[in-house]
Amino acid sequence: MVAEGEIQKHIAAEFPEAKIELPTANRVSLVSPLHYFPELAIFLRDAEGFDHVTSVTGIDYPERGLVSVTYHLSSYSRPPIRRIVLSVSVDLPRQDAKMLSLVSVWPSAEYHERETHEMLGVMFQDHPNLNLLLLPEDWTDLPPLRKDFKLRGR
Amino acid sequence: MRSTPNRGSKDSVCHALLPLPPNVRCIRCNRSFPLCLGRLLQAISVDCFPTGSDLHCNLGRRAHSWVVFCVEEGYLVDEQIVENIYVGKLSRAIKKVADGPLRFVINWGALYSLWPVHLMTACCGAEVGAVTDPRFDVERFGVLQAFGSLRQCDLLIVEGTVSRKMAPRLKRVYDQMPEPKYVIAMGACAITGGLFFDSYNVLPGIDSVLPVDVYVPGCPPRPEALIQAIIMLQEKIRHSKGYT
Amino acid sequence: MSEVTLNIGPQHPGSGHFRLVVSVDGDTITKATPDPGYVHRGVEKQAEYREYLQNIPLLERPVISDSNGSVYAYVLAVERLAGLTVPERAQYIRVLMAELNRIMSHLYWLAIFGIFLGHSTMFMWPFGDREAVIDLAQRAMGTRLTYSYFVPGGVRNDLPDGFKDQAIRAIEFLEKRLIEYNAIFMKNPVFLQRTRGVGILRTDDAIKLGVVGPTLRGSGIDADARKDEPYDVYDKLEFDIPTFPNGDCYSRSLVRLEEIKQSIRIVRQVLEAMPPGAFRARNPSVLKPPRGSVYTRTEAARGTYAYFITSKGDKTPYRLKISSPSFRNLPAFEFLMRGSHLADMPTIYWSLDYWPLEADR
Repeated sequence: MVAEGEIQKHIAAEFPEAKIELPTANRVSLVSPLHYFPELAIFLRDAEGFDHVTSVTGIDYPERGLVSVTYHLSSYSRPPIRRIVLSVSVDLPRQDAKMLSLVSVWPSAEYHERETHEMLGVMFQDHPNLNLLLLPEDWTDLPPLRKDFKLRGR
Repeated sequence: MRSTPNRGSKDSVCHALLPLPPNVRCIRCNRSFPLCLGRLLQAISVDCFPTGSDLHCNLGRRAHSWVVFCVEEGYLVDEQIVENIYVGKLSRAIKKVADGPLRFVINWGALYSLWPVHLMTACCGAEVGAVTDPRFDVERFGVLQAFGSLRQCDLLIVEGTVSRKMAPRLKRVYDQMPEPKYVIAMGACAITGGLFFDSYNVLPGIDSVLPVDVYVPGCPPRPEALIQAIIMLQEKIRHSKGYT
Repeated sequence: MSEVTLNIGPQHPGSGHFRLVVSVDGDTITKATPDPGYVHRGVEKQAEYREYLQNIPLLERPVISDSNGSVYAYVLAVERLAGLTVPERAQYIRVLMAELNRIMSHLYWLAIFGIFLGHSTMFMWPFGDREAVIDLAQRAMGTRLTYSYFVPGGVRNDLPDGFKDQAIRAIEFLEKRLIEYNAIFMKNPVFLQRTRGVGILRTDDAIKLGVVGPTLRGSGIDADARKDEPYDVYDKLEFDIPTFPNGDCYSRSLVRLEEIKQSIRIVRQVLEAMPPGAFRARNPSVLKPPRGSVYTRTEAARGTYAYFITSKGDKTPYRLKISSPSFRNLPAFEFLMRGSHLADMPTIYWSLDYWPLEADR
């Protein structure tokens, strides 16, 4: 837990508004306001060594009026912190979910952001290609992972 | 029966076509005489004989035998009782004789060389791969993995789930295959949607898109089940009427 | 020069359920865009309507050739969320079954690689030899490919009697066969010419694109979730992570063959060290984990599999996110195929071991 504590201290020093937790060993979780991007991303990549995105998740909370987008980051280039997965979450308003795309910081995020866009309706600005990826080309319904999209018969 | 003395040789008369007027009718039962077509098919199917005529009738009515009359200018020259004679048009005669064997040969050729299209639809494709391996060896039934174009294939195995994006492509592949073509719906997902029945992107079974010949349940079906499906399809083809 | 656009797939002997839109200028590929989604079944949405135990058959279907690898991370995630313990024998059995699945998946990969390159003997041999391992799986778990064997708290049933002897016979058979594969395929001059120097992925590009699994280890980075973050009894076992620095298709193939050998080594150790005891902890079948979220990762045959599960205290997950290795290897298509020959397309495609079902979920 030493390395996780160090990371927590570094981030708290630079970005005081971010809420950082260490839920278990090997996990650091961070909830950040939107205006810290992209500086927070660049800091995490260059100073802390988290060089790729393992997944981008969107969770729909209709009762809170939010869509929460979580980036999970990991490191290949620094073997001592390979065991750590850092998650950065941002809360976006449900009706107008948009944020800056982090493809310029982490090219590995490109397909993940595209999938989050089509599944949850989150707009990533400055993304190179935000077309439909997994859904059929003629999809005109709600984004499927929103909670108001119900499955057949459920 | 009145028989007249020989007028000319029997053979020359029997080979000639009989110029019967087409509107000769039997008075009692109002049936017309069919025209004669040559020696073997020369027959008159009548049930009674008209008065005032020199044509005589077959008074018996046995199912498969006919009395063949050779007549000349209205006079009976010869008569024979011949079994199993077909009376009618020549083209229909050929078709009836050749239909059974020809259909057998065409079906035999089709069923022992069913070539599936190389279209992997979903996870049952792993079992289709396993069915071609040396242990289950579906090639002994004629089902080759024909890696050429789909224009040479006649079997479409829909392996597993068909999503909404894949369905038009599946239909297109099916349309591009030449006749005769057959479809096997493999796996629970191809029959009813299977485990993914409530998904937003999955068709509940493919029989709304394609006409299916054999359904193979299972998730995934064992290779032995797929081989049984191919054998069932072969039985179906063996007994099919028509040439497609 | 004029460019021609080709559609390769989804009906093509050289593609799976997947389309590649390739622009070709003569023989050189100028652009290759992957078009996944032909098998998108909406598993993540469906998982929100099913209980935790009911999700297991759903989640093992995407990766049917390595179904234990995809469910392992899910079961670990549920155990961490709900705070369940797993008996030691069950941990050993899970490691054993995961490694057997890895061998099965790599043999499947080898067979399809053979047929993509036109070597049909190399299609038949691994497929046939894979049946030896499938028989083992069938004896222990009941079916050939989709087992539903891993459950939160252990495994569904114990290993049958005589399993150890049959397993040792099977892996000794496989070891002999690996030598023959080497002779006819890996040392085949045609194979060497078609894969050496083809589709080179340098180390820094591999890190930037975020690829996983043997694709990553073929580019010189020895990251593996079994060593980075050991789970179950992997920290008690001795095994190496094969890594090759060149980054071409040949390196990636060598990584996978070496991984089969390392899996055989792990299986031997597990069979020796397996303790007696319970195979499953007693747990309620309808689990209601407390509020919270968890992120777990395991090393499946194709790479790192990760699950992010959020629970609100109900009996169904609130959000289940799957991070599959094939989806993470997708950027490598565009990157590697640009500038290569059209005939190298199947070589590069299958050396990445892209499984469309796993990427589309």
